[in-house]
Amino acid sequence: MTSSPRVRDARGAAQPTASRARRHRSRIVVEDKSVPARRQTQSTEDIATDFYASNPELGAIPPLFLHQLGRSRWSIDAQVFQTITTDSPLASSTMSVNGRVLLARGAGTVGLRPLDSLVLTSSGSASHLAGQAASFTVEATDETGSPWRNCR
Amino acid sequence: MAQLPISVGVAGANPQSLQAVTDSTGKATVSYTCAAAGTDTLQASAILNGMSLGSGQLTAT
Repeated sequence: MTSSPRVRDARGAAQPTASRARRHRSRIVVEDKSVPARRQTQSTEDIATDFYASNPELGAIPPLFLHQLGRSRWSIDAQVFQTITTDSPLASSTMSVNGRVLLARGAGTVGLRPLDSLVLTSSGSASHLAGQAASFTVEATDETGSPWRNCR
Repeated sequence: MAQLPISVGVAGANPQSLQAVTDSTGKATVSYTCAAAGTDTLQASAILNGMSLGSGQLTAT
């Protein structure tokens, strides 16, 4: 008959072996159930970078139309798209799979027109004296720098 | 050929609004009499293709 190995402490008392001690060891998991997990929603600010018009006059457009326009998805007929991409300067246009049309600039594409220009300059003397007339010149030019014409 | 109506606002010592129409060269001239001494700030504006367009401000002293 063999006895189990024993170790003795400083007082000579028998102590369980290390392997026996491990079996009695228990893992204590503390769960604080008084504080339930919370799902938080944080707001973030996204700055759009696709502005292409600065101050359009929208007063004459019904707000309902603008709302419907903003909620709508533009679709394009396949034949029309092919005509645009093969018979026009937008020959390098591409079309994404989700139906949105992405237009890339081709070699002959003019691109978005820059804003027209309105320049105010003084056409008289620099002095601004009481009782004298002051003259100023306003020059309106189009995107090419030519005089602005409303018939084009 | 009809050209572009221009409005020039004057703020300061001689507040008023001046109207003009650009000629074939795209230019319009406005003038006013400085009834009171002081600084005036002018800014031209026009409606081009349905969009409001404004010039830079010009200070007359």
